[in-house]
This record gives sequence, C-alpha cells and structure tokens, in this order.
Amino acid sequence: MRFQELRYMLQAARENVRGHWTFHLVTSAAVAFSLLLIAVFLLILNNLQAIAERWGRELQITVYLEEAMPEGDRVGLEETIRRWQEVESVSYVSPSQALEGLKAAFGESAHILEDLRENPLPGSLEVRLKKSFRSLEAIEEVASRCRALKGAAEVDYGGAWIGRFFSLLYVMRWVGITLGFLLLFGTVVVISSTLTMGFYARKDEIEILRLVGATETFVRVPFFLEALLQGTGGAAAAVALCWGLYAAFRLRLGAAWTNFAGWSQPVFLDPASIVSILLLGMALGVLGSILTFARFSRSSG
Amino acid sequence: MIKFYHVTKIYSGSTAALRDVSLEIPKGAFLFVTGPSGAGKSTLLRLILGVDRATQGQILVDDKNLTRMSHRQMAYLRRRIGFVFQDFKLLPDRTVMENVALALKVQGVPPKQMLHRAYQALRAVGLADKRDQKPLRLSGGEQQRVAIARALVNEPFLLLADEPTGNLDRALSREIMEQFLRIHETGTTILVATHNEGLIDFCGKGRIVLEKGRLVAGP
Repeated sequence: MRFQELRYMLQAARENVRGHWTFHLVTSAAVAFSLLLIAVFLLILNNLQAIAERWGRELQITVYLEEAMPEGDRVGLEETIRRWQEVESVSYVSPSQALEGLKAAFGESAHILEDLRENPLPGSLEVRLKKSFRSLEAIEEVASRCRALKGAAEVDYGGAWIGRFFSLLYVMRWVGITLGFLLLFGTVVVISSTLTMGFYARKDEIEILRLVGATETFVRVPFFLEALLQGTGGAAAAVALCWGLYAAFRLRLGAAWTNFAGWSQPVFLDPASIVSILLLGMALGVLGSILTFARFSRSSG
Repeated sequence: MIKFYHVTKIYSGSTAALRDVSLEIPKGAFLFVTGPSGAGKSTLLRLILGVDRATQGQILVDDKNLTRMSHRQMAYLRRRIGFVFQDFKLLPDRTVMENVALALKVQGVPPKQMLHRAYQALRAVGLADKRDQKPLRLSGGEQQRVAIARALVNEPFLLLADEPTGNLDRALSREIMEQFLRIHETGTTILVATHNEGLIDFCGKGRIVLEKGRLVAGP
C-alpha cells in the first residue's frame, strides 16, 4: 500500500466521521455505556478484592491447646504445623499472655478480670498462612488438619462471615464475567449495526469506488478506522465516566467506606485495568467492522 | 481484445441473462450492443467490467482471463477501463472536479498530479469552468460529460457505456455520441449498450445483437 493511498483512506475516514457524526456519536455512546457498566463492576470487584486481601493478611488460625500439655509435646506440635507447606509462621501464646491480651482488649474495663482466682484461658498456637494460601479453602483445610492433631482442644479461624464474604466475591466474579460477555456481545451488535447503516447510506459511493478500480482495502480501511475510533472513543468515555462516578462516591461515601473496610479510601482502577478497557473498546470496534463486512458481503453478493 | 467463450450468466433466482455467448471484439472497435429490454446488454458490459462473474464459460479482456482473476487484479484492470452509465453514477456531495479525481484517488495519485489530470479530462469534455460545482446543479448532458471525463481520466484502452443517453434528449444524445467518436479516434475501444436505433444510425458503427440472452448477430 502506498503512502498516498493510506493518506486518502485516512482522509476518507475523517470525512465519513464528519459527514455521519450522529451515527458515530450514538455508537460511541452505546460502547461507552456498555464499557462503563463493566468498568464500574470491575471497580467494585477490585475494591472488595482489596478488602479481602487485607482481611486475608489478618486472618489466622488459632489452635487452643489442651490443659496441662507438657512443653515437649507443645513444641512438637508447633514443629509439625510449621512443616506444612501452607504455613508461614506458628507462634505460641501462653495462658498468661492470653490473659494480658484480654486485659488490653478490655481497656478501662480490665478491672473485671482482677477478681479471677485462676487464669481460665488455655494456651494456644497462632498459625499464619503464606500469602498464596490465604483462601477460604486453604484455611479450612489447614484448620481441619489442626483439629486432627493430638493436643488440639479447639480450632478457630475467624468465623463464618469470612466464608460468606469469600463466597460473595466468587459469585460476583462469575456474575461479572457473564454480564461482561453479554454486554460485549450487545456492543459488537450495536457497532456492527451502525456500520451497516453507514454502509447502506454510502452504498452508491462504495459502488462507484469499486467501479473506478478501488481495491477492497481502499473501500474497507476507512470503515475499519471509523469502527476503531468508535470503540476507542467509547472506551475512553467509559473510563472518564467511571472516574467521575468514583470521585463522586469518594466525596459522598468515602468515610462510610473507610469504616466498613478499615481502609483509607476506595481505590480507582489500576493502570492495567484502564489499558484493558481501552483495548477492549478497540477490539469491539474491530470485531464490529469484521461482522459488518461479513453481513454486507452476504447482503450485496 | 475481448473474447467470450460459451459464456452463460444466471443471476440467483432468475432465468439466464446470457446464454452460451461466444464472441470476439477486436482492439480499437466501436460497437453498439443492441436488443430489446432484458436481452442481456447490461449483463454483457457488467461481465466485461468484472462487476459480475460468469456462471459458465471464459471471458478474456486484454488477454487476461477474468474468471481466474482475484478481486485485487480485477480492481487494477478496472482502472484501465472507463465506464459510463445511464444514471451517471456521480457523487452528489462532491464537486465535479472531485468526482473526476476519484478515479485517480483510488490509485493513490499525488494530489497535485491528480488535480492536473482531472482538470485536463474536464477540459476535454468542455466542462473545466464547472469544476467547482456540484453535479446536481448541472444539466443531464453536462452530468454525463462529467461521467465521461471520469472515464477518460485514466486514459482507458476500453470504454463501456450502458444506455449513456437514456436520460438525455436527442440533441444532447448526439453531443455525447460525438464525444465518443472523438475518443474512438484516439484508439480507444468502445462498446455502447443502447436500444436507440437513431443513435446507431447516427454513428454508423457495427453492432452486437442480443435477444433473450442469446447472441443473434455478432461483430
């Protein structure tokens, strides 16, 4: 392809966009709306994921030991657990340390504990898992193994609500994937339909171009570029709108979020996600134009 | 120059537009393609231009077999064939100059050269002064002359015209034919599909006669 031909194709694409700007605006808006929904969903998921990670870091398994356990057995138990591949660290909390901790947690009300004649708290082992194993399945698996150990009286790992939170994230991820596919399919159809309308609006021009010896590349590249522009423009608008929503959320509900998450502020999409959305917009445009050519070839052939 | 070997063309869902046509048109000929409506005149021209493909048979244009050509090769061949249709096929939102230049634009001819050649073609048909006007502001005869200028801008070896005077009155029709005769004098092969006997008599050239898709009389 010669440079001059490419220049004419770019020029044609520019003239087409200018001449049919309402078509292009509607399509870009449809792309923007679809990608905005996906971006917002991604934003929510990212923030929940961030909370899950933070909570996951704090998550640990507490193995309460049987009373009057000999020190040798306790050290043996610690060593056994430490050898498991999921385990990052094991630390022993003696009954007196546990009582001190409880007093500290009670704060000004700690005097309630002064009347105790003897320490009712058992010694325990606090087991932290490696980062790659901080999932509900891994925690449950390690907890169940701990329960089977001789000398372990009881095992606790934070409560059922953590399980429900992980399940919610799992469901959301799948809902997101399904919703995303449906939206993307819809967007491709919208782009393709707009381009088809553009094709029919310029049917005479295309016919004349072919008659005077235009190659298919010369005819198609302007459409391809237009679709690319629609997809990219829509994606950029989606990211901008998503940022607007995020900023508004932060302004209005930032404090509530901090209370809920124990987090400084909600976070925006990371650069990789933004680039992915822009690339997705481009891909939608390209896919839409491919579908249009296929449809147009069928209808005109 | 142009050879048809047992060419049949059937459009989907209809009867044959051309049936087993074999003919040979020599280089530099000026021929009319005649016959009643539905005889296959336009189909014959469309097959030569490569707009439609033959259902059966072989077509050779300038020693190239059209049935074996790719889309790209076909596009390159069309750049050397001029065409003129009854409905002019001009873009109403472009100027006269832009319409003529379109045939050069698709080849990537640089702008300066493109404008110069388009201007020369318009001058040849006497419309240089109308170059900045939109086609719909011109008369039917002038619009057809713009189409002729576009057909000539690439200095084609073959000019195809499908009912070029169908929308024009008698005087304008003769004017267009005189234009074709002048083009023919430069060595261009010309095929004109028409059922206007008066024009054929006016030009005094040979004819290819078609009836119901069959060749009745050849060159």
